[in-house]
Amino acid sequence: MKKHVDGVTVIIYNYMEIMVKSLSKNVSLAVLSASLLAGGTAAANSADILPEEKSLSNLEYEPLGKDELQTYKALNSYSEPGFIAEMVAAGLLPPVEERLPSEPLVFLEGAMVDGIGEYGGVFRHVIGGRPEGWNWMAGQHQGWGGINMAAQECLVRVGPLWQIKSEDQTGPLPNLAKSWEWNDNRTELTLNLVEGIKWSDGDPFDTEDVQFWWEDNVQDPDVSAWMSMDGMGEGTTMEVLDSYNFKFVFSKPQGPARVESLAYIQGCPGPSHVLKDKHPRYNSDATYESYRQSQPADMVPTPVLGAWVPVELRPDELVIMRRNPYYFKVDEAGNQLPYMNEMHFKLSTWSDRTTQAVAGTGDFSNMENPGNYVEALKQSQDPNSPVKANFGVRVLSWEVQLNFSESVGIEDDIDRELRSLFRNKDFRVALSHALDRETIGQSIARGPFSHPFPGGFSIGSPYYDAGSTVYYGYDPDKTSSMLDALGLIDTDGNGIRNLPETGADAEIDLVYDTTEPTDKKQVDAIVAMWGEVGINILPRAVDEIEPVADSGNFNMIERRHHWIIPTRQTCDYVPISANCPDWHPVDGDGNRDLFDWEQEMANAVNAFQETWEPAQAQAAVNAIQKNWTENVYTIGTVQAPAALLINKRIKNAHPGTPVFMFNWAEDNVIRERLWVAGEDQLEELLPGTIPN
Amino acid sequence: MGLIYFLLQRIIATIPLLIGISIVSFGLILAIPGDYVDLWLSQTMAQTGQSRTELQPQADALRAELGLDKPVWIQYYLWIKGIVTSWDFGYSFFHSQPVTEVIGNRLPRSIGIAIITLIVGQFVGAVLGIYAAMNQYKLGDTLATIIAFLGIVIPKFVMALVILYFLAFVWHSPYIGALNSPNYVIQDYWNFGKLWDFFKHVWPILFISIWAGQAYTLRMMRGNLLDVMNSQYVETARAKGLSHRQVIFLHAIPNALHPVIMNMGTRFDYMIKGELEIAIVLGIPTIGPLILGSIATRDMLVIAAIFMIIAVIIVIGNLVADLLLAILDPRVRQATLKAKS
Repeated sequence: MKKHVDGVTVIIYNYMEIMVKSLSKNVSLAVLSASLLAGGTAAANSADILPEEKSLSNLEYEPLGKDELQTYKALNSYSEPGFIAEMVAAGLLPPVEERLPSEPLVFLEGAMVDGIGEYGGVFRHVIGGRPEGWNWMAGQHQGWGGINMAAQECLVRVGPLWQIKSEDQTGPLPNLAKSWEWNDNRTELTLNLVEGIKWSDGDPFDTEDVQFWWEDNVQDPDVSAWMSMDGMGEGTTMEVLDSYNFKFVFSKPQGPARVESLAYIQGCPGPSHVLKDKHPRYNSDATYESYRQSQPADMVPTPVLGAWVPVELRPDELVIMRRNPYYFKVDEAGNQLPYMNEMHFKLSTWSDRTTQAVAGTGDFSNMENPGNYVEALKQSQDPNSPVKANFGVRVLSWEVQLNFSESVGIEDDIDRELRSLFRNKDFRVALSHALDRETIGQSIARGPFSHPFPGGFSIGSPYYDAGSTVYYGYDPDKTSSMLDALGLIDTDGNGIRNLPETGADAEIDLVYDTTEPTDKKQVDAIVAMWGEVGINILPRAVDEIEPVADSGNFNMIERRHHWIIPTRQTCDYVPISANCPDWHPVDGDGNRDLFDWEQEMANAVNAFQETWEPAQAQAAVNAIQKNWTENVYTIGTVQAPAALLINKRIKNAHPGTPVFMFNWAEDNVIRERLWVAGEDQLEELLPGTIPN
Repeated sequence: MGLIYFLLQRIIATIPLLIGISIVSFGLILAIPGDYVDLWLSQTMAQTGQSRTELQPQADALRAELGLDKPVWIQYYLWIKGIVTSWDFGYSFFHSQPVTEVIGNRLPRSIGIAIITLIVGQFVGAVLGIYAAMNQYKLGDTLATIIAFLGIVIPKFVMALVILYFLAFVWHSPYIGALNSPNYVIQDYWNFGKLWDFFKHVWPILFISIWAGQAYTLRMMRGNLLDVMNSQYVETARAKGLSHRQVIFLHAIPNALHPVIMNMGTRFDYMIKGELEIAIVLGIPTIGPLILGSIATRDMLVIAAIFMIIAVIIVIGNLVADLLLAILDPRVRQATLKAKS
């Protein structure tokens, strides 16, 4: 399956090439005026064509079909770790065949880069969050960074979809639900649970748990469940058919994307046999607050369906999870998963996660700050370094969002005129032409990491289509002529163009997050480049960008662009609702003047969600991409890959695993399949123990 | 009685100070746009892929649950009322624990580290200062002076960054970002092994704090001792025929120590602040990273409580220094009593 996975050498080579090129021309990146000499000339000479991407990871692998990754079937025999077998022999646990479903979920060997694994060892996470509690059905989180996903299992799964070939991208992977069927007019969805799954305390998982999740959590207005009441569509009801089959009944026909709503974090049932007695509907002494807090963080072990069970909490220091002896997944050789017996979550800070991964005291980190990439590469090359960096596809991108509202956040006539300019496509195109994205990229990370970003979907998105992408590359002369044509002339000779109506200097506030060094560097470059063409940018640094963005009280915002999959965070990017996106909200009187192409994008989102044909779905995404990039809906800057830092002793971590795509890397990498060779295994803190 | 009156007066005087600090703490947090729920929203959006619209009902419920939908003065009143009536500092939004537990976990570590650095730092500084004074303009004096100046001029966070770089990137040390290794974290009792493991983790804090902390003391002790040794009563002591050692240790050093001890109250404040700065860089879970993290997450009850507690500690530190000085120096004691009588 895997043809070539050693991308580091290529990255180093590319990096050296660029360094030599830069040095030979004696170009300092700090001197932005010299940027044209340093690079970007390709973009300048090929305006409106996005330069071809240089593959960073140099990964070549053939995407899989869903049935090549996993299946459900009974195997001839099953295995378990030695200490579990001893417990079985001692009568403390039922035999593995009785703990597993009759047809467990089987991960196929052909999809494992290091093959069938060995039992034992510890996987060490470092996270910046703190567990709220274990009642995730009532909206509690467990601290993020992979701990939620370690404990919870959901009806379907999306994380590993990144390695599924496009013709199989017809919906999520089965998980607790092994299959589902639609009725002819797509108004009923019947899901079939895997028969015989058990909670980590041995209680059966069945439709009683699903019904409790849906009726007493999702549909209870007093419970803040992760899925909203209309999360499966307005007016949707559930019918339980028997212990393992249930169906959703919709008020109108649905598209296939609807099933994805049942993936992490929305469609993850909790243990009804524990929680039902604590719910106010079944316990007159309980309140909704007492229900939410009924599984506090220190109440461990708590029953879960996940591969590991929380067994020890040291507040502010450590969470220890041990293998779930009832976990419902096996490998093709019949070994009950997970391979690793223990999982640690050191409770620290998010920035410490990368430090500890590099030091070797943590096993895993999502690295999304390009400023650290060179050091990460050096570490990867050092044979003594405990960590390797796997650069995935380009999914990190940044953009400048221009406020299109003609009323929200306007304080004076200058703001009003600026908004009018923002709504003029020529102005947006002119500003795009003024950005030397090669230089911006070099300012955030020396080397071959960044690539121009025209907006829309990043190159790493499985939905990206180059043919639908319009790019307005670096051409400051074109910018000048376009701004002149718009009447933006420097009438007072102070180097700043004047607005044609108010006559004021063209000064625009640009909000950015001061806690993000990558944003700060880009804003510095943008200020210089737009300053060169007579637009004076006033950087406005804030510690927390969301409140400012939410208020609409800004003219421009520079920030990360998170939209990679059409079904995730959609409302933050396309006007499918009154209060989104931030840069074009409805005002207090309910007014908003959408462009036709904005409406077309919103319609395309609906078409994507409703269609059953993969080709139509891709066509809908292409329409979004075309409208976005052609009209410069936002002014994209650069796009770069993220890097997954993972300890070298860990096996089965696919080198192409994206830090983020359908889900975060902790799910994408399929941790239940990770393993460590015996001689490299770390000592377990609680050896020989199981929950309960 | 006069000393007790003096003590009581100092303690009562801190009450309006603490009220002022609590109001300022609240004001500072509220001056920053957004609240904890805004942070929760952005973090949850990123983690779950849900949009703000989808999460808004949950955010509203959370804001109501945490009391953040109430007017500011009511939030403040409820907080103060809880402290006064039931010693309840409120609930940490981020840690999902009572504030007293969150701070209670970390404060003893910070105070312990600060006390160690204070005692060791002052002792080392004083000894080196005495050595430097007794070897004025010799090699030892020059070396001590260089060490002292480096401790003064190199910012503590820079030292911490350099050490962190070597620990993490060069040596791949297993002793970073924690107070103890995981096997000792789950060990409920302290023994030599756990203590040794603790020092393996916190030595950078102690090293930097002591280095930086002793520098001022060294310079002060050296200067004081040189001044004192030129005093008439030292000449008199020598004229009486006392040995050089007796002159130095019985007459010169006790008098030269006065300003050093007087300075200890302010040094304690310095040690706490220094520990915070270094621990933040090194990611060691003491009060320092808690302050920074709480500000970042708008966990305002934790911040307000920490500010108050640190203020109390600094006030106590100054009080202890005053008392020590009064006990050491009869002139100070008599002057204090006279002033209060």
